[in-house]
Amino acid sequence: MTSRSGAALVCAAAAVFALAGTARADDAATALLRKAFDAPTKVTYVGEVQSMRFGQNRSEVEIYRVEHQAPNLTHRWYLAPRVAYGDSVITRGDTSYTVDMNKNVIVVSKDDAIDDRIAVDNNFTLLTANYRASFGPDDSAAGRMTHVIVFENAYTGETTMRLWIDTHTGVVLKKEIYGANGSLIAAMRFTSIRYVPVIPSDMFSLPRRVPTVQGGSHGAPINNLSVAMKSAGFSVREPRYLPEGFQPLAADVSDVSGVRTCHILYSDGIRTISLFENARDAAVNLTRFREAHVRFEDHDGVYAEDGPTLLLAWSESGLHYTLVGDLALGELTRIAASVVP
Amino acid sequence: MQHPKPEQLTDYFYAALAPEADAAVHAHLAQCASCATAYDDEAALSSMLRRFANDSERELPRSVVDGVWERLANERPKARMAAFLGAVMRPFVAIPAAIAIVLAAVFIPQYAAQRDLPSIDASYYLQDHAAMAATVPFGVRSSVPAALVSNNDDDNAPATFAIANDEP
Amino acid sequence: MGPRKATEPPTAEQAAFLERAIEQYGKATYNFAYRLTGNEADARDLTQEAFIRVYRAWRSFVPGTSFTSWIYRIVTNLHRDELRRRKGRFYEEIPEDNAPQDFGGNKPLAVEPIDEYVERQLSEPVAKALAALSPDQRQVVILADIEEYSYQEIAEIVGCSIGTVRSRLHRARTQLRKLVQAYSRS
Ligand SMILES: [Zn+2]
Repeated sequence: MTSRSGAALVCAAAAVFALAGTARADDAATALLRKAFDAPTKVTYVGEVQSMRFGQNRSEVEIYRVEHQAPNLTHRWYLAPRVAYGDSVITRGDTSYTVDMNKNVIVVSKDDAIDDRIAVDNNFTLLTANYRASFGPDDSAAGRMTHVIVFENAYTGETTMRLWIDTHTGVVLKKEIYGANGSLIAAMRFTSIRYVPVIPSDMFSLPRRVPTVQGGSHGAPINNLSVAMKSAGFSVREPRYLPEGFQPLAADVSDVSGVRTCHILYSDGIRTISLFENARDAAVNLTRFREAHVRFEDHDGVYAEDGPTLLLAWSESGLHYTLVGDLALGELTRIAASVVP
Repeated sequence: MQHPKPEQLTDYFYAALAPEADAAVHAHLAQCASCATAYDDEAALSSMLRRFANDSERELPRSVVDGVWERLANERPKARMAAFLGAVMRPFVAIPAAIAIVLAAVFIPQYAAQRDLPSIDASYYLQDHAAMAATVPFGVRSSVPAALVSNNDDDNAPATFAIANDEP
Repeated sequence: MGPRKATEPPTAEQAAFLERAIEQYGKATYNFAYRLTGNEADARDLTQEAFIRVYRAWRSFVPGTSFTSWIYRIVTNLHRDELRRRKGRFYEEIPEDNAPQDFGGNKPLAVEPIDEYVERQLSEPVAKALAALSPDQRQVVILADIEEYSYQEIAEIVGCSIGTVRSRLHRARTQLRKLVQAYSRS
């Protein structure tokens, strides 16, 4: 399996080369970024992480303890939110085990993309093509010295992300992502970290006497968009407009309650959008969200917010579409309007 | 302690003894070869059963699932299959970003459909988006560690640098 | 909140519950049923019937408790009912205090460490030996060794006392040793 990122390797690469001239990043910053990409495979640590996403009406916080043994064993213990307290996720290579203490069950799922060099390289290329990386003033995070890399969008000039990278180990100790208006939309930071030579292996073993169940996967990732579209059983449509730098990264086709659904992920290396399509007239059920209406071109769409994430749904000539992403509503409707037969 | 009875060994194996008895058997096994052998035999019997279970594991035949829905549909001729299938999200737990929603959702049915057409709960889209987006290492949805790559290249072998944690 | 009557129209919620239950626990339930019954046809019927019960009684499931225990209990009860119905044809009651039986034409059973059998991967004899246990014994062995439940949990699933679980399990294991050896020999 190459990867779901292989999906659009060809078109992504084409765009990347076209951009190489304009988006040449600070070489030293890029080298440090490369080190940060590779750090998890080389550095073993234990720490505590706070991760936040900010919405207009609601924000989310996750706090977890993390034990990471290079190259690919990780155990995350959730301290917050309350509903996840005590649960943990053990990742061994490309397989994740979510231990739900409340339901006394372990859900096993596999992600081919995680265990994939090409996926990571491709993301690195995408990120450095779409964002100019430069050094900000050095800072500290979690009590350690860090170099700060600032990512400026190559097309809009907006500062989109800052990474605080441990000067010694390359581990990203803090991350901030900003929206179009400069507001903070997501942040992650280690509140503490300790580098250790080795973590006892039983830290990554599963609790006994807890039954395991197979979790749904995303559907097999398909490394060729046209193949994914063919297997959907209906003619999948793509947007003609995407914000600058966005490329299709991955696709999968799955049956959701008997409704065949095609999912395509687009990214510019930091921001992501998903487009879902089904041909069964299966509308989105927004009962648990505050539903709002929006009119664009000649469509009546519904949308809802989930923290900083927006979901926009509409139908057109027998197909039902849902667009999900951390973008402004105006951007989403512009993308939606460009999805035409 | 005297040699434990076979029943006690079995109970010990299943961790069903009271703490004092458990400790006593534990201590005895460490210094009595014949009981240790008997205990190993208990364990071997269990592992044989588990091995048999693994080897003979079967997939759920599709006909069973179809049969269930068919019977339910026949009981209520007017109920369309579509109504049965409405508003369901598939189980999905892999990526921590989605963990909270998912854990709340498992067996707390709350996906009431408003009409008889099939519909897909918004949570499904949000979770699937979160899961796939999490594979973008420094993206909005990534968690720590940012990317996990298993790679056999020698130059990617764990580095052996020593790091002082109290570094200034 | 009591179980819904079957005459009430099914809700999408109820269907969602069933769909999710089948997706997550269908395979485990089917395998449990297969090991209890020893054949696929009965396992299919049993699994199907169990999920229909799940559908009807979905409101009596207490969120936060183990779903697996609940459905195994349903399967166990259905199996017991079915055996009673078929009694005489399939069900040979073996008394709780059954004496060791002879197998394979009165051949004496040599004592041989079980390890050697494990190494030989004798899944056939294990299947036969399991099938030769009484249904009650088979149940506790499957729950204890294959499903790895505690005595307490088994007692709840099977609906008996912990003492009964313990004694059934001891007898079952003694039987099983002999049976496996006997079938491996023949
Ligand atoms: Zn002894």
